[in-house]
Amino acid sequence: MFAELLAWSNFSFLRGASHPEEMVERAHKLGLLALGICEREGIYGSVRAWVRAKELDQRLLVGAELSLDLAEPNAPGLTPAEARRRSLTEQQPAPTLALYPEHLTGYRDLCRAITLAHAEHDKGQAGYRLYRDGLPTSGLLIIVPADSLLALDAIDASSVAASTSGLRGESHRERVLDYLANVAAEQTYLAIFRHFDGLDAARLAAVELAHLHYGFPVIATARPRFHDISRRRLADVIACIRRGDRLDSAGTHLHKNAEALLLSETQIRERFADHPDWVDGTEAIVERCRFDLGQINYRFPCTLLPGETADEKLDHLVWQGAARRYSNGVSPSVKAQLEHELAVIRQMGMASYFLSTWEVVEMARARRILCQGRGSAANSAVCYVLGITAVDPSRSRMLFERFMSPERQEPPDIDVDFEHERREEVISDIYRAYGRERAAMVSEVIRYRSRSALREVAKVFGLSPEQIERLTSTVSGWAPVDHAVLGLKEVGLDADDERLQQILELAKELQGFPRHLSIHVGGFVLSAEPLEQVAPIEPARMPGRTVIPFDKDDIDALGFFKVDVLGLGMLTAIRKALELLHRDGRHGDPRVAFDPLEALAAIPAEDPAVYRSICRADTVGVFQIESRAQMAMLPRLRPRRFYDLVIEVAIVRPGPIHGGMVHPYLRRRNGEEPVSYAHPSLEQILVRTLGVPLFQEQVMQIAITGAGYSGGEADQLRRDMAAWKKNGRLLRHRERLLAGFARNGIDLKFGEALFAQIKGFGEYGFPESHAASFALLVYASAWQKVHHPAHFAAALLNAQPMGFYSPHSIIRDAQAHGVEVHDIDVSFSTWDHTLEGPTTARKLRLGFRLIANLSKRMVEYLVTERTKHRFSDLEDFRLRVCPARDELEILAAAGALESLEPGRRNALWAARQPERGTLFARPTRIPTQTAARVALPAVSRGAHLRFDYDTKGLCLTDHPMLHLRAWLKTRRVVTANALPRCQRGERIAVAGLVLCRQQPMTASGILFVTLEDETGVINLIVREEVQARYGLMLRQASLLCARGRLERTDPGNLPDSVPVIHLLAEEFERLDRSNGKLRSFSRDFH
Amino acid sequence: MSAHQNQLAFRLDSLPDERRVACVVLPELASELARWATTKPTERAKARPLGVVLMDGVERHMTLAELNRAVEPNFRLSAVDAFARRLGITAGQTIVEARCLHAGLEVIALPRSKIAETLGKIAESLLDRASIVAIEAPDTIWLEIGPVMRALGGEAAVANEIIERVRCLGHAVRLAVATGPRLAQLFARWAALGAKAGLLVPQARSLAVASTLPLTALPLSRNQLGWLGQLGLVSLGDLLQLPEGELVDRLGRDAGRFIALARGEDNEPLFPLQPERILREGLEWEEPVEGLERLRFVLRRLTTNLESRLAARGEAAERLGVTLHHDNAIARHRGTPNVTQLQFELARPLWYAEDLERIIVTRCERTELLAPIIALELKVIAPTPKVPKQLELGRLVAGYGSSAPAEEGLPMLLAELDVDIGSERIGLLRLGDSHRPESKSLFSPCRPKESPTRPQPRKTKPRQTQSAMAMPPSDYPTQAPANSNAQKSPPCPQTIEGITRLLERPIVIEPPIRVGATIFLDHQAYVIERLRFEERLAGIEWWGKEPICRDYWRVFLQGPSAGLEGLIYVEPNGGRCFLQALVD
Repeated sequence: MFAELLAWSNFSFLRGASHPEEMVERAHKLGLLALGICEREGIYGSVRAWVRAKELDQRLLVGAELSLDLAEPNAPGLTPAEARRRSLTEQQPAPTLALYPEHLTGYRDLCRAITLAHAEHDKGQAGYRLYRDGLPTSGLLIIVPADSLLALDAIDASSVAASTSGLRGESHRERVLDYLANVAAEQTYLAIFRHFDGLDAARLAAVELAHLHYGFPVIATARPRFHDISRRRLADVIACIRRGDRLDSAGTHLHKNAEALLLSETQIRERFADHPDWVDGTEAIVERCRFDLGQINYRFPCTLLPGETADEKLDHLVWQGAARRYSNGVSPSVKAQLEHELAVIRQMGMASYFLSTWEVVEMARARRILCQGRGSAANSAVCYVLGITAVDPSRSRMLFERFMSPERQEPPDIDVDFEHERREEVISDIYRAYGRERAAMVSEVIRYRSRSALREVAKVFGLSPEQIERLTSTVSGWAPVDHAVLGLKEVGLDADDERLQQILELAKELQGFPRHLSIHVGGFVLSAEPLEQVAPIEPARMPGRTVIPFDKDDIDALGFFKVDVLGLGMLTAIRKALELLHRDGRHGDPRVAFDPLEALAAIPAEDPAVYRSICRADTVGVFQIESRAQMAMLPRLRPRRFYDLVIEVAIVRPGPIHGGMVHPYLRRRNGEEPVSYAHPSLEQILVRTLGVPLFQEQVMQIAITGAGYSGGEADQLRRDMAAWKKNGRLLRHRERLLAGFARNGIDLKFGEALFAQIKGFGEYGFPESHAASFALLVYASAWQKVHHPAHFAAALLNAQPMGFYSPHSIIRDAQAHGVEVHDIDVSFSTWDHTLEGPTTARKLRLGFRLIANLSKRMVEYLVTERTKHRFSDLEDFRLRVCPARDELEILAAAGALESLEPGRRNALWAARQPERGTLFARPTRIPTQTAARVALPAVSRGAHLRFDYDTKGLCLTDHPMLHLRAWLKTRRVVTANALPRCQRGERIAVAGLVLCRQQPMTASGILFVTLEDETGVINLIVREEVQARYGLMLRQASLLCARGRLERTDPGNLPDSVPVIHLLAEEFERLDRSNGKLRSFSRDFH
Repeated sequence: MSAHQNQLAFRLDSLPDERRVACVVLPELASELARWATTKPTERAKARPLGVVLMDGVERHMTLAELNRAVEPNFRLSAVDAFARRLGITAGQTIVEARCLHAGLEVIALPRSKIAETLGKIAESLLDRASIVAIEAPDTIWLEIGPVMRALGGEAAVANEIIERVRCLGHAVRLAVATGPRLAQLFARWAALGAKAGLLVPQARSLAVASTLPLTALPLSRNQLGWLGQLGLVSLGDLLQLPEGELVDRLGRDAGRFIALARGEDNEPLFPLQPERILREGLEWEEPVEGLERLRFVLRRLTTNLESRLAARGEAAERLGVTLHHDNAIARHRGTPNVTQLQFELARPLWYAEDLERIIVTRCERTELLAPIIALELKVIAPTPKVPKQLELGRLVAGYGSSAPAEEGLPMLLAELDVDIGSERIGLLRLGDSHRPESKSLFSPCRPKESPTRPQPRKTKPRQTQSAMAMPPSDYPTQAPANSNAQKSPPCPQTIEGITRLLERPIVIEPPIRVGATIFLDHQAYVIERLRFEERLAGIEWWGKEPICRDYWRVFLQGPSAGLEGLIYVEPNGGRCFLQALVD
């Protein structure tokens, strides 16, 4: 039997041209004894291959092929420059050794070897220092590929290597093989392959010589880079991507043929007909390697006192926390819930996980960083009393089984949000507390999406950057590459061109390939033992970070626990607003040090003014309910209390929308339909949502109460809901649910309707706990906006980038709320946006952070200098701050020098004035050029607008549409503020600056576009057929004119009611072409 | 005042003692030459956009077809025709980029020297209209017309005559007359009137006309243009509103010259063109032609050009040479010489195109064409003065007969070898980065150093910033590959070792190829003693050419007298075998 032992997948990053799953499937189809996935420098794709192999019952060996760094033991590693040079001139494969663990100990050795190989090298430049570190040989099999022997010879021939290694006399080949013969003679194999590339004879000679001298057994391999011959061209393309080369100039770096293919036993025997024993030899290795990834023994860490168990410590903390949370005494129901949860946690051995998460949250609290748990963890009373979540289980009907249940032996998932600007502090604390050997971040596989695939392939085919830009503009987001064909003509490319056709074809193949590993946004893996015993650790590109090479799917598959330390911009914004309010004495006592936790808790609850504002959909900048869909729902749902906000957050989601739950709920809420329950037993579950299931927990509870599911089974139902489109397992619940309902006397019609709704949840439904967590922040941010718009706007702007709207929209909204906004000026502004004027009537002063390409360091220095004494004129400013010329010109163009040099053009003229210094002396003061001496054209309104938009992305005194208004009037274009006077169904035209494009997956392909003119915003609905006609224009234009029919929903004569108005767009016209190229400010969500 | 009235006014305003320089700009020169090089301008080809690649270092003996075969997809276009421009194809794009915009783009390669050569010839035809004639590649001819224009009917008449002559030669032309060469060049390129009739700008109007030109007419950097735009400046006139010293402080020293131009001041001297003594006119094309009828079209163009040049020089042809270049492959196949040369001793000097054409055609009708023709060259070996003319000053100033300085060493050796074995056999071998053996070794014939038969224009120091009066941003970029990676890393070592002689054409071998089989080479029988598989080339071609699929074998042959080692490839599909190389 034959086992392929030197296979690379595309997780060998731009070396292999097939997914690991494809390799496994092909090996299974070919009937191979085993497949050894042996990625370069790591085990990146191994878990995926392992999962697929388990499904197919295909034997899989997990190994890694490590490059050798042959520097002497005491020689320094490669410098970054040398490493770069090596990678640039890499023409021959570097010498490598393939390592396979025989058992768990071997796997640990492998992890350690990989960790060492990455430890002292730049990202992507791993190299195992064999002469210094040796090889842990206790449980590792070592395979020396034939090309590695040639590479060793090549190094010997290279003068560069000789000088770096300091080696004299003995060749590297001899030295490496001697070493292996001495320490691992029984574990070393030589691997030979025939690729018909002209080097077969040399490889054969090298292997036979090594075999003769050292007696290492020889095995045959196909050394495959791809699973199917059709991937050969892609292999050429990715080789070029890796080398930064083009197909036209790659020459001999391209593959000579398609022989690097996964072969069947028959094919490999044919290729090695002269040495059948080499083919048979692979079987012995498979026999020896008994390690399976499922054997990894991972344990979560926790800090305990001597003699204390994790369960005891958790018990202690929980009751202590309960006493603090419920100062009036713990109610019996809460007590029972806590006892139940603690019992489940004890049974599942998860106490240490809760303790570690609690420790992380405590680290943040010690630094007074706002944080709160989200997701299903808010279903846990334990999490609430530990301070991990903020939703009181006594005030809601939480379902602990949604969070964790004994039926499924899986770790629960606790996600905690922290202020996004201070998340780094928490991460540093975690590293400090657990040490780098026990804490590392989870990786994230960055894949080629349609645009990046097109970009890279087009580059390889030799297109210019400008053409690549045009080509990639034909597709968006995750849209398939095929969509590009439709837009080629529109962007001026010729679809008949042979190269373009090939680019599209190959980009399609490349889409979905892993590009590189990045750091997960916040996923931490903590381990009781040193992490390198369960996974290799690599330094990340970000300084001070270490990662393990598994992503979150791999982590789930391996059963590791992870803690998500997520950053949430709104927490930062809320904290900043509270801080500004505290400083002004508007919220809390300014004499007392500011405590964000207390300040947040001090926000008055259930303020009617807040709900009135929310009912008017006046929610630009408010957490979660600022999107188009949410704003359209608010006047219809009309939230009046906190729980309404929970529903508001959850109802505009794919689950309820596709499940058809939205309209029944709204009808019942507005009294248009009576509230009814299919069975009295369900009333308790559905009473708060008027008989309509809106949350995942409710579906689970209905299954438990109505159909006799256990908690764990109900959770399985929830999981199958989430993945039913992928695996269809949800259908198996149908009969059971219906039968259960029938047994309990629940109407069959209700059962069918519920099942349809459950399928809707499959798209995406919110747990109530999660919605409740978010609703807290919705309320807090809405309160700030209603009562302190200037503070809120400043904080929101200072927390950018975040949220749905650009600074431009936030500032316009603040102005609409009566906030006086002052422009950026070097005499007054700081990096952040600040508040000026009396504390009772604060004005917003824009900060330098709004100006692109300005260094924060220079601004900080500017502020320091200004604090000493104010700038007398531009020359004084220049001499004291010494900004770079570019920066000075940017400031001039942005109008930030107005107080020192009136007139932007005068300032621009002065900014380029050469300094009159000498070689050794500081520049001396010369008089500033004044407008009187240099006759520069006056800045027109249009030029002023252009200056502002080019530098800051907004203009406080003007709007692009104002310049077109006279012309638009002749075309009977309606302004935003005139829309409420238009009739439903009326055919009208509108025009504006594109603020936002959104295509949610719930919208059946509908695109929502938000335009802004000088009077307000206009919402457009664009159907698919219209998108097809105006695709590129809709994606790219910054100024648009749209014609269509008006749609409006009037809420009646209710107080604080506003109509919901949309334009169902039918035709578009681009307005930015004739008005020069205006930078796009649209925030697009697809 | 209308544009036409303006023009008239300028003519009237011209003063007698002004310096008057006419500038002829040929905006389509490269694409015109390229179009003429395609001898089969079918309707379809005419409808296709055209791009031109100007190649440096082209060998004397390289045919146009060979030149075009050397064009690679990542070469940059040096020029494009109007049709291509309308499609968004511009000079500077690579062929790959351009074809993405229009797959049917036709690309023609020309030697870069052809541009200067053609400019020189056109300039020669204008010698009698100016006291000094100068050229500047890629598109400009200057004529110092001040001293002669009174005698020739005035400035407008001279300008019209120049335009007419250049148009007769088949070129699109823009012309302006001003007080200095750079001003005239700016006007010809950027002023609207320059496009049709000539624009005549007297000193008094220079300032007014220059002021209206856009700032983009000056060779300013992108950054400088952006900054001036931010200041609200649009035209050259706007520059004059600013204090010169301070502007120079901000834009650098060249700003002084720009401001002078904006003021209408230009004193740059012209460096006269020195025409070659022997007049040559030639044209080559890619597709070989047979039959006299097609040749007559070419002949007419060449004789027209000759007439124009002879007339300008005031000379006539006394002895004429005609060289017909045959298609090499067919000539070799037919066993005929590569060229047919005809000599004409004319009873009396001739200069009119019709006369010249008639005598050549008469002879050609009686001459058997041994093989299809791919190039035609006319040479006036002994030009003789036609009628002495008063206006020979320009030619005298330019001077004749400056001999090349004697050079020793390698050039001499090469020259001897050239005579001995032919220059096509002298050259350099370089390594090609390709899997195909036939592309691994490339032969580049030696290029004789350009003989400095005339004084070269003063060379300016190569600076990154604007060179002295290097006015136009070059429309003719070099054809260097867009990606320099190929130069960064040398090609991989050859995997098939020991090939010392690649056969010019692979020899078909009768299968089977196995040990003991006999094969015949040059009527001699060889027995295959040993075979060794070397490598497989499969699917290495990405575009255009037929996909290659070859299995290479090294064969060790035993002949009647000696052994032989060679490289054979077998095409797996067709099963055909070829001997491609021998190992000496």
